[in-house]
Amino acid sequence: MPSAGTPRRSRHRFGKRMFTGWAVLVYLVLYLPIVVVVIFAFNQPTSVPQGASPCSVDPSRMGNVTVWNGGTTCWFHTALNDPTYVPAVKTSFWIAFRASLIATVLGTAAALSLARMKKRWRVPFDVLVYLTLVVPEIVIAVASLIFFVQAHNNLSIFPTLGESTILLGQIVFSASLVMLIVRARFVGMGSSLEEASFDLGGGPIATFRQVTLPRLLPAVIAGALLSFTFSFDDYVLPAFTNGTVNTWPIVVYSAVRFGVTPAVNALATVMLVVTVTLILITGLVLRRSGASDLTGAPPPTIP
Amino acid sequence: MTSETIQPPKRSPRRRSFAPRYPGWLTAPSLIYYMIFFLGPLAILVVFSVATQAGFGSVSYTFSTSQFKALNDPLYIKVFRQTMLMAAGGTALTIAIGYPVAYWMSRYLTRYKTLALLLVIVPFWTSFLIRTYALKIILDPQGYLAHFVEWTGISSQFNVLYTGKAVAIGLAYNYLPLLILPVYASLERMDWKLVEAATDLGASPFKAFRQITLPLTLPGLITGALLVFIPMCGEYVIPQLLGGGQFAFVGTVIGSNFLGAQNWPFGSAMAIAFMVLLSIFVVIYIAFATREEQFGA
Amino acid sequence: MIEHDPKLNVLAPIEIRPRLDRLERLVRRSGGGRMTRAEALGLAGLALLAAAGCGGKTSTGGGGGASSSGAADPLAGKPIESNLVIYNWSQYDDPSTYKSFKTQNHVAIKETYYSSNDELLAKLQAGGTGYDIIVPSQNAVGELVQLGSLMKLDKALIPNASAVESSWVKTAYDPTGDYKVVKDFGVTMFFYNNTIVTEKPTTMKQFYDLLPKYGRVGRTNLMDGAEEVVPLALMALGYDPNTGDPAELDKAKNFLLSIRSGVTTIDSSNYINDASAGKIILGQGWNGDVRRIISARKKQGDITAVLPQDTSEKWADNWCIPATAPDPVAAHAWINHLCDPAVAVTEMEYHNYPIPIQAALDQTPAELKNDPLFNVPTSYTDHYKFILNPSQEIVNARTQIYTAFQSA
Repeated sequence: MPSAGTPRRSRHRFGKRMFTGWAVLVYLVLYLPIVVVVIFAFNQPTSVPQGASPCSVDPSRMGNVTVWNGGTTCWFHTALNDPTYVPAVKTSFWIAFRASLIATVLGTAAALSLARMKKRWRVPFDVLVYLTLVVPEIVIAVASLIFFVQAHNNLSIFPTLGESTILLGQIVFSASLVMLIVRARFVGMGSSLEEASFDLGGGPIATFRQVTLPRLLPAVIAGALLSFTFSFDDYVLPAFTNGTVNTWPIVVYSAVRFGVTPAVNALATVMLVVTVTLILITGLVLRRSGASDLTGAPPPTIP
Repeated sequence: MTSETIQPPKRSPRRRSFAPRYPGWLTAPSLIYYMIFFLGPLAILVVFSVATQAGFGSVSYTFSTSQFKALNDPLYIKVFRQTMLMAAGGTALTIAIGYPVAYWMSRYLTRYKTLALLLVIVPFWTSFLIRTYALKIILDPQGYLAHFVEWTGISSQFNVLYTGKAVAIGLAYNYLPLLILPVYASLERMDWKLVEAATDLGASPFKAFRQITLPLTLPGLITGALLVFIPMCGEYVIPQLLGGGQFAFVGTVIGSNFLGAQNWPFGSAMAIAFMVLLSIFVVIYIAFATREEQFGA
Repeated sequence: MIEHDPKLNVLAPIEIRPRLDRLERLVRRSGGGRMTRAEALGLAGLALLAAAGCGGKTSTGGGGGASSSGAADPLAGKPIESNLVIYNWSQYDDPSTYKSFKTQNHVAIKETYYSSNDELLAKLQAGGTGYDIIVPSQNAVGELVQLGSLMKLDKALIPNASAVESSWVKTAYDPTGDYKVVKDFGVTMFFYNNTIVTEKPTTMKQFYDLLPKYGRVGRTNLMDGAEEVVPLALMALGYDPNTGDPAELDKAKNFLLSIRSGVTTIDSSNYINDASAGKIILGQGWNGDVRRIISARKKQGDITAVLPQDTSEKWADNWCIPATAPDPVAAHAWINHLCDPAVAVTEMEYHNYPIPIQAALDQTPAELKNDPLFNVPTSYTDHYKFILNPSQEIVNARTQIYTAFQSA
């Protein structure tokens, strides 16, 4: 059996089909709520007064917008013209962008030197990194609030509550996220290539650029994406360290008491369309330019 | 990839030690960062946890273990136990769903790896709250899914919303990327030739997976599992929204003491006890990872 | 402001400031040349915290008196500022209210949102917020007055507030009536599906007693949070909702645990939609929400709303100005604007909760002012009570009971 190529191929194909099937199913489930979010962006209030626009109904008279009451497209106009929605999304985006950038640099740098550091230095650092994950967010959020207020009152170099304190607080968790993911890839990756590079006279920078980074890239990208996602969608920490800044999650959460309107769904839909379009364009451009896959992954070894 | 395989083993006498290193100061920026922006707030928590209350949201700084003693109550032990069980269930579900997807991406995709990875993330760029509302609409006992399930006869009564099942589904849904990405990253360094060689030598695919793929991706899997398990225990929005508020997670209880009652000392003590408990898992992992790293180097 | 008010300084009272400075210098010196600037600052930061922690200072919470209550009329004659920062629930006020305020006063408004009183309290207690207007509920107002975090309102700058009904000026949570103007108010009531629940409960106690029976039949709901669940149960048992008597609290706990099996959900924000879809057969609710549910179920007509006969909770959201407000004159102008009867009418039509200004109430459409679920008759509210946070011990006890109830 092992000598022939065909059974192996057919088994490979069978495995591929099974896994592809599962993956498709998981993507469907992952996107099912998103489809619902998009559909309900077109929903109407339960009852609309004669001649009025469905979107001019006050939230307190909107009735139940979690059941389908008929379609309208006016929420998109409402959402894009809302004085708080779009600025809040922009704020969240820039905070998340900067947080993931800084966290990726901090986390990757630490992962590089940690991966092969002596145990007695590494273990305490590891413990510190894990502690950042283990603290319940709500508690560290209030503690950070007190910390930032006191720090600013006592040392004027610390910023007042606002965008920068949201950013500073979120980087802690994000840097740990990046560090762990990068290290998980590092572990057991083998150091022969780096060794060779160092022996051939390549300094740490050249070695990093030419040898280590290409091999770490999938993990670095994964870490950056996750930390961006975490920052962008985080409610608890910004709710306490925001000062007078509104982030997108803060705007959405605070709407709960009087009812989240379909305008929120509409703006989420717009965001979704924009990101998916950007991703597709980037993909096409990369393909045109003949660049290989972003992750720099090796080609499959299956013949 | 190819260069790695033809690389002759270098045994240079000039080697500084067993492996070349990136300079140690690369950890300095993050260390300093943690010192200020993490240990700072954490120090506040520690100080609070041994303090006593002096009125709403204010604290009398003494050294007292009374907060920790108050934690030793069947009520809170029960909450801890329930949380651990729920989070363990949620983590298991996340692994069962996510690991095969990461495996598929890494092994069977070539061109579209990044796209597949991004598509896992994109749903999370909307908003947690409206996503969870959408989940509620889907899980509604009078919704389309319920009708479908009842029609297929899988279950005569689809009653998931406001039960532990809905909480587990919500947890798995929201934490899926935190598992898939680390596992994917560690699968990406897999040399599938090893698996092929094993199956060529007569090992069943399952055996090859258990003896080669799983051990090699275990660091990524455990990182992912911890990244998922730990925040799940501290979760307090998902149990409220999908569990109808009838599940007291550690996160929920810390929230209602720390925020609701403004009992900062007791909330801090509970958070620290919770951290110590979870650290046990982490220490086990670090011990394991340390061994693994020496192995791999 | 904060620095000079030791009461607000949770971590580092002003008295130990010199000690902290010395510590900082010490850290720097002992760090010597080997330390980078960043390291020194980091260490100093830690040292500051440690020092603050070991300070042994009690930052007392008790005792009233806002810090601004010095001069007789400190704001008189001051010009209005050009900014106003509002910290509020979102969608709680009509967009036209903001517009008219801006055009009349030439003040730029910045609004930040929160989603629970707890967030507001935590922020005010930590200090350094920069808000001019906040909207706390009655229990939070009581606490903030105790903590001295609120500014004593200058009534001369809020002439329109004189129209507020007298019973809503001096209230149990603000006995002098100096620290708030009621924004709107409501009560906690209950509703049931009359095709399923055949008894005709009229009191909160009867409502609770029906839970075990109907929890098996369909969904039942209680309002969430320790400050709702426990005091409401106390009231149903005939006790004071704000009691600190351990025996009474214990009875409430046992009572709650005895009906726990009949409670499907404990939720204050999503029950409106679920009930509007006919999924809740027996549940508590706030009157404004119950109005929405009734109107959503008009076609089926299967929901009966009950204002409890004997007693229940009344609550109020309030306009307050933090003691540290950077733009106090503009904040007063805002409150005055909201008390303008014409503005109050549009506000009520927007959020559907009554504002206790008779002149404005009279102008609201008949569908509002004649609806007892909107304009709850005083024959009910006179017997209803405010739920307050009388002391930390009571709040702790409530929280513990609530945790036991939730996890049972």
